[in-house]
Amino acid sequence: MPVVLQASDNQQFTIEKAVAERSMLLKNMLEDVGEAGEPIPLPNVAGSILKKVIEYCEHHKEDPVPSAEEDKDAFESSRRKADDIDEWDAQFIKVGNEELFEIILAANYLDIKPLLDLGCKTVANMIKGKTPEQIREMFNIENDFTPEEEDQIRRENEWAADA
Amino acid sequence: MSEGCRLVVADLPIEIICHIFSFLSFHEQIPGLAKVCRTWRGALRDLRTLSLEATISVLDYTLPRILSGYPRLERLIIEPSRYIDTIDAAYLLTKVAQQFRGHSTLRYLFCSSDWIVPGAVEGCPRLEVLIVPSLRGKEEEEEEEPQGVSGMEEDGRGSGMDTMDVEYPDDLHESERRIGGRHWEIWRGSGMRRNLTWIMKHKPTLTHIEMNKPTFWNRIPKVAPASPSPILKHLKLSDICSWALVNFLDVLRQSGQLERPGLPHLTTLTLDLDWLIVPTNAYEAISLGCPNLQSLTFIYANLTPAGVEAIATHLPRLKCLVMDKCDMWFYHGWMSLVRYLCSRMKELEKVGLEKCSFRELPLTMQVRFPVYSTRAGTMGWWTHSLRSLKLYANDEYRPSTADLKEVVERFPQLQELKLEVPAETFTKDGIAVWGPAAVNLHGLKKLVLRSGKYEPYGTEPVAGDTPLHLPNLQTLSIWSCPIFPFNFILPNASNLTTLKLNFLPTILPDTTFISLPNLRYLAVRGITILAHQICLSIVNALTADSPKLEVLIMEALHRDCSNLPSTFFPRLVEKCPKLKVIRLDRFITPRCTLTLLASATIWPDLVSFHVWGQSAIHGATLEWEQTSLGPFLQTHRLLRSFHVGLHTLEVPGFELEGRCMDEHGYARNVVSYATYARSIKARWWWLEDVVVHGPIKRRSVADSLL
Repeated sequence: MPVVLQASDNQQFTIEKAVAERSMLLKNMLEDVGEAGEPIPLPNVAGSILKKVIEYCEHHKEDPVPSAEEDKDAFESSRRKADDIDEWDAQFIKVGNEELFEIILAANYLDIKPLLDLGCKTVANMIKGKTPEQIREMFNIENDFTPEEEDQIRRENEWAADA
Repeated sequence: MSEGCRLVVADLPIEIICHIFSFLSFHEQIPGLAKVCRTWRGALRDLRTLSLEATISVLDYTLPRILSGYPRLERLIIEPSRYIDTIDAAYLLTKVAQQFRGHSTLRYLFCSSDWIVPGAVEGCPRLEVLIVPSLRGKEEEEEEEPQGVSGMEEDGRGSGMDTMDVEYPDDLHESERRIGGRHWEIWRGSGMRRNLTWIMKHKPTLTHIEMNKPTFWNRIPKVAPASPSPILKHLKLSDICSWALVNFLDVLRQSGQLERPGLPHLTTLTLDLDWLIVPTNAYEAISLGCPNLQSLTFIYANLTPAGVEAIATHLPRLKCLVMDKCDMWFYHGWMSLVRYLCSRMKELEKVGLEKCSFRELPLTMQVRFPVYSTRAGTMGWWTHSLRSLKLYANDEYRPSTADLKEVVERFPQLQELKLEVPAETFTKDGIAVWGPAAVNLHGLKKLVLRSGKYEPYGTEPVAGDTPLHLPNLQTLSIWSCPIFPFNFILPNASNLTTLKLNFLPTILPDTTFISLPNLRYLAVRGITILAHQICLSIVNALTADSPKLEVLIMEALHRDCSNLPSTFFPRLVEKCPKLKVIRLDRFITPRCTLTLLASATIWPDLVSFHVWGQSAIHGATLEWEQTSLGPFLQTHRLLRSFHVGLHTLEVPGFELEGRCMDEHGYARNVVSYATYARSIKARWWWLEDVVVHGPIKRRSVADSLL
C-alpha cells in the first residue's frame, strides 16, 4: 500500500509504506489514521529536501529498527564516535551547508533518528579542530559577545586548559 | 543567491546543537566552542560527558564549581594528570576527589581515588555506574592518602569494621537524607570508602560497580522487609585481600541460605585475586548468593584441585567462563579441561583460558572423572553450542593437532576461535591440518592461531582433505606460522576486514601482492635481524590493493632501527588514501616525510600518527618545526595522537645535556623531551596526546663508543 507525501511547495511523492515507516512521525500517523490514501501534508519540509530524505529512507528501508535497548547500550559504551559513517551515507550527505541544515531539520521533524545522527555527525566533523574564529566564518555565525563576556568565558574555562 | 533567506547554523534549535556537540569529545568542546557565540555557550551547559584530568587549575577552580556549569551531566571521568610526576598526580587526584559532593543527574562515575565515593553515595541520586579502579602502573603503592586519617583506618579490617557499624547505629538512617555535616566523619576511614556492603546499602540504585581493594562486612545486612534488594548487575573486584574475599563469600552464602540472595540480579562477576587461593566452597557460595549469574571471570586466581569440578557442579548454567592467568588443576591438558566443562555446562557460550598454568591432578583424584580422561577423539560423540573459545597456553599441555580437529567438529557454532597451536598445525604449504570438518565452521568470524616453537616438528604435517574455507571470516590473526600463510589468506581475502600477522619468518618477493578489498586494519610485526625487511615486504604485498585500509601498524621488534625507503610514504598515500591510524616502530623515516605529508588532501581523516623508535625522525630543529612539523599538523586538524622518536632535540629552549649522558643527564633529558611534548600539545591545541622520546642509549653502548 503506497503512501503519498505532500511537501510545503505542494510537490507530491508516492512511496512504499516500508519507506515511510523509517520516519517515526509517519509511522505513528499511519497507525492512527489507517490507510486513507489521502496525501499527508508536510508543511515544514520543502520538496527538494523531502526528495533527499526519501532517497535516504529508500536505501535504509531494510535496516533493523533501533530499539530502546540499544539506546541504553549507547550510553554504556564509552563515547559516541563521529567518524564511523557508512560509505553510502558519506556520499549522500556531501551537500552544501544550507541543504545539510535543512536535512537535519527535516529529520528532526519527521523523527528519523539515524538520519538526524548522520547530519549531526557531519556537522560535528566540520567543527573538529577549528578555532572559534574559523567556526564562525564557516557557519556564518556572528560573534555576539561583549569584550567583558569574552573575558569572563576565558576565566571560566581556564581550568580546562590543562585538564 | 540572497543572503537573507540562507539557512545558517544559528537557525538550528538548541536541542539539535546539543545533539551535534554530543558527537564531539570533551576536549573538542571545551574551551573552544564556548567562545563561538551566546547560543553555543548556552548549548554547552547541556554537556553530558565531562572527562578531566586532576590538575592544579582544576583544584583551584574547584570541582563543584566546574560541575555547577553542567546541570545535565551524566558521565564524569576524573583521571590523574599525565604531564606531571606520578606521585604529584596521585596527590592531586585525591585532593580533587575530596572536593566532590555529588551531582543530581550523574549516572556514571570513574575515578581511581576512593575519595570520590562519599559524594557518589550521598550526593548522586541517579548514579548507576561507579568505577574506582587502581591507579595506573607503578604509582599504585603511593596511593595512600597523604593527609591525616582518623583512627578508624588503622583497625579497619574485619572485626574492626563491625565495631564501627555498632558505634553509629542512629546515624545510618539520617545519613540517607542528609548531605554534609556530622556523618561525613564516617567516610574518613579508607576502609569505609571501599566497603561494598556499606556502599550498596546506601546506594541500592547502582547497577555496575568496579572497585579496587574492596572491603566487606562479615554479616548479612539487616534488610528491612520494604527496602529494595540491590539491582546490581555487574561487579568487578580487583586486588581483593583474603579476609575481604572470605567475608564476601560468607555474605553470599548466608544470604542464599536464608533465601534472600545477596545479589539476586548479578549477571557478571569478575574477581582479580592477586594469587589468592579460591576455596572450593566459593562456587557454591556464589551460586547461592548470585542465582542469576551468567558470566564469571577469575584473574590471577589460584584454584584448588577440586575447583574445576566445583565450578561445573555449582554453576552449571553459566554462559561465560573466563580464567585469566590462573592456576588450575586437571589432567591430560587444556582440551580435556574444555571438554569436561562443556560436557557438564550445556549453556556455555564462551570459554576463555588465557595464560593459565596447568597442574596435573594426583592420580587419586583422576578417578572422579573417568569419562573425560580419554584423549581427543576416542570418546562418545556430542556437539556443543559454544560460540567463543579462547585457549592461550604456551606449555606442554597446549592443544595438539588432534585437539584442533576435535574443536572444529565438536563446536560447529563457533564465531570466535583463539588458540595457541603447535607448529605442525601448518603444512609446508601453509595449509592448516584440520581435515574436512573445517568446512563446518560457517559462523566463524574471528580466528586467531598462535603457533610457537615449543616443540620441534615431530613428523612432517599432512594437510586435510579439503582446504580450509571459512565463508564468514572477518578477522584473522596468525602468529609464528612457519611460512607465509597464503593458503589461509587467499580463500578468505574478499571478506577480511582485520588481518594481523606476527613474527612470520618470510620475506615476500617484490612482485607478490594480495588483493584485500575490504581490509580496514592491518598489523604486521616482525622479529630477528630481518624484522625490518620482513615487515616492509609483507606490508607492501598487502597494501597494494587495499583501498579501504584505515589502520596500519608495522613494528620491527628488533634492537636496531632501519631506514624506510623514500618511496614508502608516497606509495602508501597513493594506495591507501583512507588511513586514519599509522603506527610504525623502529623505522627511520626519510628526512622529508612530514613535509611530504603536509597537505590537507593527504589522509584528511588522520587521527593517530606514531613513528616510534630511536631516531625515527632525524632531529627537531627550529627549521624543522617551521617547514615540516608545523605545516603537517596545520593540515591535519583531526589528528589527536602524535608520538615521535627524535634523533636530536635542538630547538632553542629545550637544550639537552649532551649526547653521552650519565644517570642524571639522562633523567634531565627525559624531562626535556616531556616538556617539548607539552609545548607541541599547547601550540597545536587540537592534539590530545603527544609523546616525544629521544635516542635511548644504554650505558654500555655509550661507553663502547668512547
